Amino acid sequence: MSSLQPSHSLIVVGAGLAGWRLVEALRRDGFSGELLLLGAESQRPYDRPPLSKQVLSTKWTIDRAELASAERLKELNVNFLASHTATSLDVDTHCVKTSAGEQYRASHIVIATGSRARTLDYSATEHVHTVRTHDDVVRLLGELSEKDEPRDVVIIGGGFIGAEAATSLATLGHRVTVLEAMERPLMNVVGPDVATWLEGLAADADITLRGSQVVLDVVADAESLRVLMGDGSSIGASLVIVAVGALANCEWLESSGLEIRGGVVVDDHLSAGNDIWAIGDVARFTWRHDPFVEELRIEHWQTANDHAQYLAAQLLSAEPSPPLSMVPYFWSDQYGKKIQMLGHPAPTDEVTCVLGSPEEAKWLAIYSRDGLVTGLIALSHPRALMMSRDLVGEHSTVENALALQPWT
Amino acid sequence: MKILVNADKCQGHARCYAIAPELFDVDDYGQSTVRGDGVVPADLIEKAKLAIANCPEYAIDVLED
Ligand SMILES: Cc1cc2nc3c(=O)[nH]c(=O)nc-3n(C[C@H](O)[C@H](O)[C@H](O)COP(=O)(O)OP(=O)(O)OC[C@H]3O[C@@H](n4cnc5c(N)ncnc54)[C@H](O)[C@@H]3O)c2cc1C
Ligand code: SF4
Repeated sequence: MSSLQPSHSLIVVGAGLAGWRLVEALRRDGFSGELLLLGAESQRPYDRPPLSKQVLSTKWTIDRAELASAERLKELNVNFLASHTATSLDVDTHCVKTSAGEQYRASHIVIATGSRARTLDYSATEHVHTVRTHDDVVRLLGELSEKDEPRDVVIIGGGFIGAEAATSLATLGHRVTVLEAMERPLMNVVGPDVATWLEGLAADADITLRGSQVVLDVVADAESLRVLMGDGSSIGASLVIVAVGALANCEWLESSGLEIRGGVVVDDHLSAGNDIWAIGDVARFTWRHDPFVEELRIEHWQTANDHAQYLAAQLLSAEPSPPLSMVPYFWSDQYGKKIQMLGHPAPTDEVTCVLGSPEEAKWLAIYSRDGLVTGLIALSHPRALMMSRDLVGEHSTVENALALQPWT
Repeated sequence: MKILVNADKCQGHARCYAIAPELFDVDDYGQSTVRGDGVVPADLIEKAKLAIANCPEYAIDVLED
């Protein structure tokens, strides 16, 4: 008998990609029981990747990022409550309380509260933007439209979101400076070699990128903002964005007794026990890719989607499901190029460029540890990357990869 | 089932190709197209559904169920 019967009910807390995709998959695969979707934001579920790309560059209006129309929610018979923030979960009674004091109960609970932008404490914090939500981007675009002239924009943080926001704003004609704390952006994700290959891209897109930058404060005077640097210098700006990573939204579960470690700890079936699961950005899950076993949280689109698909299948399957197995994937569109990665390599893994070269700004590289392929990364080589996907899924040796050359 | 890749939406993730190379092809820029006329053989319907659910751009349209 499957875990989820028509007489059962399910509450999904968090109406982002993971939560919405789960609801969609459960209905697609035949679950007819009650579904309640609670979302803290005032919008219906929407997709975040376009926010820093198509929406910020004004190629799309923001409504194009919507994932679930009112009709679709109705069609799928989902009880969706916007502006409902969960404040606690009782693990034994499955009672979810909200900030407005309501209580909801269901046989099954899925935690999909995602993550939020990390902020830093500056004197002028109220003038500093983040790029995480619908409202963030509306506010940012609103401020930019106040004056129809190129602005001086400073972006603190050169990671994926910072680089994407920089690219979008530069295409609108603004003068963008990106301040990165590490010597080179993304060193902690892609490793030092690949970070070097990516370094020149910003300049090609007319964006000033500075590494090893220490930002002490952002202060406001009458007309503009000033970013105060560790070396005593300062940079004037009319707009400042901080893009320094994300934090999992799990504070609301602190009193629940669930295991929280920078995310909701779940096993290799995404279970936190007692018919409670966690998916997407908020889930700290066990990922087995022999011989490596890692406990990790992944803040990427495909992982949220894969988690949702896997959990729906598991809940509706009559047989016990195998542990979650997936090849993590992410992409980022920055400085006019597409970066794509498969797997979850460590920044210390060895890197071998197997196709193209950094000079051409078109390449494919293999990450490896102990002679085994741990990941693949490509710049402007989408087809070759995907042709090589099995190298990661099947934990090929580097030797085997070089002999097979699946990318050719 | 008949499917089509919406060229305006497709952003070249090649996820569809990774999941179902029998149904999709991708050029060097990642632009995806369906093979043949897009009619999905019965034994590939599950794969087609998986590809649709995994396209980050919602670029794979179902023309006929
Ligand atoms: C600007 C931007 C660009 C991105 N670009 C890419 C990209 O190019 N490639 C890529 O792979 N990934 C990208 N990502 C990451 C990707 O969007 C996330 O991994 C994905 O959104 C995770 O989905 P989620 O549902 O787990 O979490 P979220 O999208 O964070 O959704 C969680 C939802 O839960 C709600 N919530 C939080 N707390 C509560 C509560 N207590 N009660 C009720 N509701 C609550 C939140 O308001 C939110 O709506 C990007 C993210 C951003 C912000
Ligand atoms: S997965 Fe979607 S976006 Fe990616 S190549 Fe296929 S159709 Fe295009």
